[in-house]
Amino acid sequence: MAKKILCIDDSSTIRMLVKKTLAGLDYVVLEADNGQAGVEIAAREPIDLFLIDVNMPVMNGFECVAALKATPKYGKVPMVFLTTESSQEKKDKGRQLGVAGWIVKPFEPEALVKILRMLAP
Amino acid sequence: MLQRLFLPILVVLFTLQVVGIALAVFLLPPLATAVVCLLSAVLLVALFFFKPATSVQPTPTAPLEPPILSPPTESVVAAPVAVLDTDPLQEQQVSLDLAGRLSNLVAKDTEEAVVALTESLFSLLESSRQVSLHIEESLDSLTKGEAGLGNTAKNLESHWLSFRNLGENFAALQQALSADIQVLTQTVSAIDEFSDNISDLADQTNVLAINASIEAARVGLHGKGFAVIANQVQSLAKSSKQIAEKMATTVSDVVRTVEASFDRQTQRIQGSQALIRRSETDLRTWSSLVEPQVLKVGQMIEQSRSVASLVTQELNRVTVSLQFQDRIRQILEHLRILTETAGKQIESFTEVSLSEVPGPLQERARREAQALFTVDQEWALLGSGSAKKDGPKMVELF
Repeated sequence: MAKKILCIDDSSTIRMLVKKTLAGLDYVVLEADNGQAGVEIAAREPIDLFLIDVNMPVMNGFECVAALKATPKYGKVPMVFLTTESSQEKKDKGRQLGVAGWIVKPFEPEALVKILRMLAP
Repeated sequence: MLQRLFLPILVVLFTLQVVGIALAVFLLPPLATAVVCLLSAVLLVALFFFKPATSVQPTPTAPLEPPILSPPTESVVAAPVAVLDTDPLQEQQVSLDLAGRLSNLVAKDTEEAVVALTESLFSLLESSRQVSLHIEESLDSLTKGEAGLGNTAKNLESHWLSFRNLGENFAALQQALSADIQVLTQTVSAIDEFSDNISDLADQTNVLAINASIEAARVGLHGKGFAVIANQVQSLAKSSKQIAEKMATTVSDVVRTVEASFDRQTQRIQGSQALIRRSETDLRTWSSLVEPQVLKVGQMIEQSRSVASLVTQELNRVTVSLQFQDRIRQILEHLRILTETAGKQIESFTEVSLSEVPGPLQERARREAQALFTVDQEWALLGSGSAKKDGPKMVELF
């Protein structure tokens, strides 16, 4: 059965690139343009892995991860930050929140697929 | 003077920045475009904090407050030029609002262009990959399977070997036939010899019988019985000779028939051998023709696979490159936020919101912007009711 990936990013280009990269593989990609919208979609649909941007309007990536991790449904579901941010401080913050990985944009399609295969096989 | 020129310089520089960024997005490599955007942002911020009105005044004590706080409504109506001299910050406020909206327009257009470009590129590369895969599958089916070229080549090789074995068998058969003919010839010769011997014996017996008849006649009446026996022996000798001659004739007939049959068989075998040799040569030729084709098709499959792999690599590079373009859009977005912040700061200085900025000032900013703007979307930012509102004509004949 195809795994559901929720891509939360305010950039429609990035969402489209993620979708195109995973097209033809055994993944279904859902989209949200900010953290709040992502949390709402995750409440409706069961998600197998989250790809989350850090800087977004309405609700940023850290707040979004904290909100999702607080729910019993997504406490152990893998979440990966996909962001232009690369500072150690931010990465540490992500690690403390319990995210499974950190991908700095621009991402290499092969690297993204490899990580997804590891976290949501 | 510097104060008068500051606004037009600001507007011109900002417009140049926006045009430069837009050109850089599509013409320069991503890194160079990012540098252009960053320099533009820095220049804009520097321009904003550069205040010619305050720099020319010798005393820095609250230099901006008097003109800002004094509402210039009457003088604006009566003499707009005088008002413009006293409210440079309000003028900046209008220009920055316009600059912010321009920046927003560029960011939006850039994103739309990148999304459209992404769609087109992926669609193009996907089609290319599909074609490549289709070629690979077609070539693969041509060489593999029961009716494939590879199998045909193997079959031809196998048939060629069978024909060669058949040819060898026929050669052995012909040799055996020749040996049989030789044995038959020898046997017939022996029979002929026997027949001749019998014939000789019959002749000698006949002579003896004649002599016995003569001797029987010489003794007269006493030899009469012996003469009858001699006649009987002579008669038997003649019969023996006739049998011997008949046997020789029959054997000779049989030999002729058998030899004729052997000759026909030999001719048939030789004909078959020639046919086999020709078929063997043909099969060998076809096999030698098919083998390089199989090799060539194999190479084409490899090439097709290599093209598919190159397309995938190219797709990966495009994906990375497009993300750089998106990063530029983000930088433009930051530029817009900076402009907005600058506008708000002016608003806090002047305590006059954008909508309260005197009409003549706004009108002047509009006129200056109209003189600069060339693109329909820029005109739309001014809320201009110009003829351009209907959309641009792509081709126009005069």
